[in-house]
Amino acid sequence: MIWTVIIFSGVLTFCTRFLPLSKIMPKTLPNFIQGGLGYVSIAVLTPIIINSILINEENSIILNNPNIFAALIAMFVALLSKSIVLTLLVGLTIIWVFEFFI
Amino acid sequence: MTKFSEFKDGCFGEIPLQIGVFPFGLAFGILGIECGLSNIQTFLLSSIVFAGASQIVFAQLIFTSTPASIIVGTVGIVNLRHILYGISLSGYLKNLTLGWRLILAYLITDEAYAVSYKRFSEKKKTKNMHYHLLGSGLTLWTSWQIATFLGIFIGHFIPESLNLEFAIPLSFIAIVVISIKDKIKFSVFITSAVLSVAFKDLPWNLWIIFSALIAILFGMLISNKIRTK
Repeated sequence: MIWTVIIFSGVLTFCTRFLPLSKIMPKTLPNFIQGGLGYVSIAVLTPIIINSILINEENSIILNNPNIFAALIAMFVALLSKSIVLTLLVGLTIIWVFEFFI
Repeated sequence: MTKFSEFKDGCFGEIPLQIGVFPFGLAFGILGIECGLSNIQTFLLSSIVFAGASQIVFAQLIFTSTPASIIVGTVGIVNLRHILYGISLSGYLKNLTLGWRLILAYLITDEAYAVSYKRFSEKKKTKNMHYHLLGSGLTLWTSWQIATFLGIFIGHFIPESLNLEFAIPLSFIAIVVISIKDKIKFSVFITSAVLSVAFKDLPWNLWIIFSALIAILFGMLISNKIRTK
């Protein structure tokens, strides 16, 4: 069962990569569709971020957790540094400080 | 430029990006096992799907017993952005043989695109330039497989208190924050964030698909409004 899902996901993902290089798709898409594709990363990743910092395993919102603090600082670091690595380092360090010292 | 020097430039251009990719791959390996995938399923996801964010989503959705069709649909939506990369690369790759286009398509990722598109657009067009994408793509592919492999095996030994999976939302935060370059993208971000909380109780983890699709449509609507003004 899981294998079927893996294969289908793989085929679909390959299609998103190959379609524009195949000869069947038009070379340009209407502006508003291209624009829409440009929002995909933000629109898809944001719910995953929110879910992993705000929501616990019982599906309820938890507002007093170190993840929120770490995430806010990480956003600030990303905004200033534009660096994924620095964001990772600072964010993980904050989590470790909470875990081991507080 | 010879084939080899293009290939080499692609490889070397891609290497610095691995500082961000490698921890992400490790985190995926750890997460895959935690979510109940087997070692081999976790490992092969990295070559069959070979797209980080969607692999993370895949593992999380498996963990929460989401119906298969919704898992595949969610993965598809997460990876829709590849179409944009393909469109901007197709001008440089369209005359290649089918075999080449199949291989290079498979290797298109955020990071390989970033490195090779820069070469295609900024330097002279040559008949060997597709070797650049082959180099950047294969470098990323190799490092992704190794990172997944290590994640699967060292995952068993890394104490849970280190919270290494937190590297995943952190990477996403960095990607999102760095890509918010205008007001429309900012409003897509806010819409998607608010909706994901509002939709959290929907069955079958539909919150990802619904919040993402509505936020994208919202972005398209307001950008259309601005354009027609």
